[in-house]
Amino acid sequence: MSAYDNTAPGAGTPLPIRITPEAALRELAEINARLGRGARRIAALTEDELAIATAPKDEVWRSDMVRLYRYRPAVAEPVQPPVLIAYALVGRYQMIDLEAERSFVRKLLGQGLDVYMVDWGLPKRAQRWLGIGDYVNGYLDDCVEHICERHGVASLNLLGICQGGVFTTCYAALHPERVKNLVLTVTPLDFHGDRGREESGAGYMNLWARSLAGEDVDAVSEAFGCMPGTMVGFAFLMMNPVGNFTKYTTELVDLLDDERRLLNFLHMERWIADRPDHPGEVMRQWLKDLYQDNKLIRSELELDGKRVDLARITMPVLNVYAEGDVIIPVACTRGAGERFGTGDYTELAVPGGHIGTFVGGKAQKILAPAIGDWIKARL
Amino acid sequence: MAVSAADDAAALYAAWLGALPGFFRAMVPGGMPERGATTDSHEWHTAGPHPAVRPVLDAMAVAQQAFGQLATDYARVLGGEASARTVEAWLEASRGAAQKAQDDLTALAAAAAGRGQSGVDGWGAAAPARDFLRALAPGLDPRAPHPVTEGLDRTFTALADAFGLAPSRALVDACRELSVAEADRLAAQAGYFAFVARTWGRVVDGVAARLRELGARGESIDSLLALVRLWAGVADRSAHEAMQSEEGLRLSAAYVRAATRAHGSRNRVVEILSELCNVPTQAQLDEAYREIQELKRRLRRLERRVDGTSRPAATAGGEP
Repeated sequence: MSAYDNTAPGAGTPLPIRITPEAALRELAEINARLGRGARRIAALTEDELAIATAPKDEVWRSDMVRLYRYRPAVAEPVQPPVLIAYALVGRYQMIDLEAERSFVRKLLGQGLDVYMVDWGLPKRAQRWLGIGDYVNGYLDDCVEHICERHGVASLNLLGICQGGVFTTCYAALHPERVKNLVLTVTPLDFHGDRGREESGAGYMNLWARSLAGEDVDAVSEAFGCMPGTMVGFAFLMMNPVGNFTKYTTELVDLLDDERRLLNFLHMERWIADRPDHPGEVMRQWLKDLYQDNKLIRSELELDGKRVDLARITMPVLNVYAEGDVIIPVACTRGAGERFGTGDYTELAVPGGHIGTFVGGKAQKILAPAIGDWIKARL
Repeated sequence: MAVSAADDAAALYAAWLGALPGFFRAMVPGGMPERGATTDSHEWHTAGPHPAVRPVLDAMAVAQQAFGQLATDYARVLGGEASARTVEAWLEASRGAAQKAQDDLTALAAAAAGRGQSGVDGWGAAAPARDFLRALAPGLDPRAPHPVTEGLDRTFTALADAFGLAPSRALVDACRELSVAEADRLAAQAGYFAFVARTWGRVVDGVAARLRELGARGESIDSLLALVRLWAGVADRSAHEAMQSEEGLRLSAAYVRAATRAHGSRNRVVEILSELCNVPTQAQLDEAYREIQELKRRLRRLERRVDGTSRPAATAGGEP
């Protein structure tokens, strides 16, 4: 009987591993050959092939490190008023236009919408004192003002993503006259919604933020000024330590010979690696006022001395959440409609995870058409 | 001297990621073999890949090395006489391997903690500050203050201040604080490392349970990649449960606290040195940034007040 014959009778459960030494070495050789081919291909890739965020756009306004882009419309007479998208500070806006074939922004343009995007840029130490109020009442308000003047409209459609969704929620509450329709995507609203509903692998950021004392957060802000982007990135990596190892083994090996899937993987890696620094004051408010004290959903958050009263959000609201979101647990965003002052509140569930909402195949088929239809029905 | 926040975060992440290959190899029945020759993981690195793909190539090299080790170990063990034939035997053998990996990591953690607590060198990345201090004031070792200087300090503090020596005393105090904070940071890091080691150690039991389930259903694992996937599924759940546990959260918060304090202590040393050298300190720059930001806010409020009459904008004209 060979040493690898695990079916031999004896005490206990037979080991259900049927791998011979020859098979193990053969598999290793195959994987090495595939890794070698893949690595040579990867090393030869050009900037054109690795480029992300390629949808044509024009810079129309700037202030400090913040830029406002208008994507070139896909139709001669795009739907008015325009849509302004606000992404989070923890990543770059390119995620909504990762690749031409799975570009959320291209799909919105395809819906005939007129799309603007605010790029928060790369904050440095000089921006450490920027607070959420500066982003909401400063940069975002400036962008809205610029677009409204440019198009001769009194209000526009505002679309927020994740942290950007919180910013747009605050904006809509503080400047409701400027927001025609509010679209929130994967946006945390009730930061304590996960309490009592904890599930393994989801909501780690909520638990981690609440495990810190308020003075810990103050000390971090004071010691580091701006939270380095790499540290923010590590916080996300920490949420999935095993997956971030196996994606370079089992996952990557499976797609190395598939050019399209390999480029998908690399484009995502490129986006992940580009993490901006996070202004210390925003981080302090984000962790203390929101994650720890959950002030937004209670309408207790104050920006620049003004209370963010969700009851003032009287315009139509579409709240999109991802069914498999482990960063923003569904319980932290679903069911928030009763806190808003609007009588026109809609929720839309899309398949996939937090980022998959914008780049996943199934979600892509649903998201942009649903948003386009929802907005067009409310003009 | 600067140690970035990313270094602290990387240390936490490395606790998870760096330990993976060792526990990964615990899947080899018959115990963890000695580290043998591995494939040259960098042989296919060509010159000048695009910067955006370099991290991917590096990660592939690590993955290839780990996988190569697993495959060759498997082939060696399965080809010998020590093969496990039952899940129980596999579990026993793998536990030993996992225990060894756990012991290695725990020893590393203990060494890190000892290095901090013993005061042998708790300076870590702040060593340049220590060296600068020694150059500035030979004989003044902040970790073991000389009794004579201590006595002089107590007796002639006021006189020393009168001669403008206060900054050097402040520097010594700041360096002492830094040394203590660095030691605490290392101890907190060690505590976290040990916790991670215990977590990975439990994965073996989970893998054994999965193997039993497969065996009971008459299914089998026919490739190393499939075995890795099974292991990853179990390890993923185990890691999440550990990180979300009360102990995991407490230890990571303790580390954040200690790392922040150490960073703040380094900032303080640099601040004193900057003042001694007549260089603007970060705190002074931060204060200037704060004032600029406040002025911007005031300007914005004024602009809004002036523009207030023109809002909302006209509803006609403009462009689509």
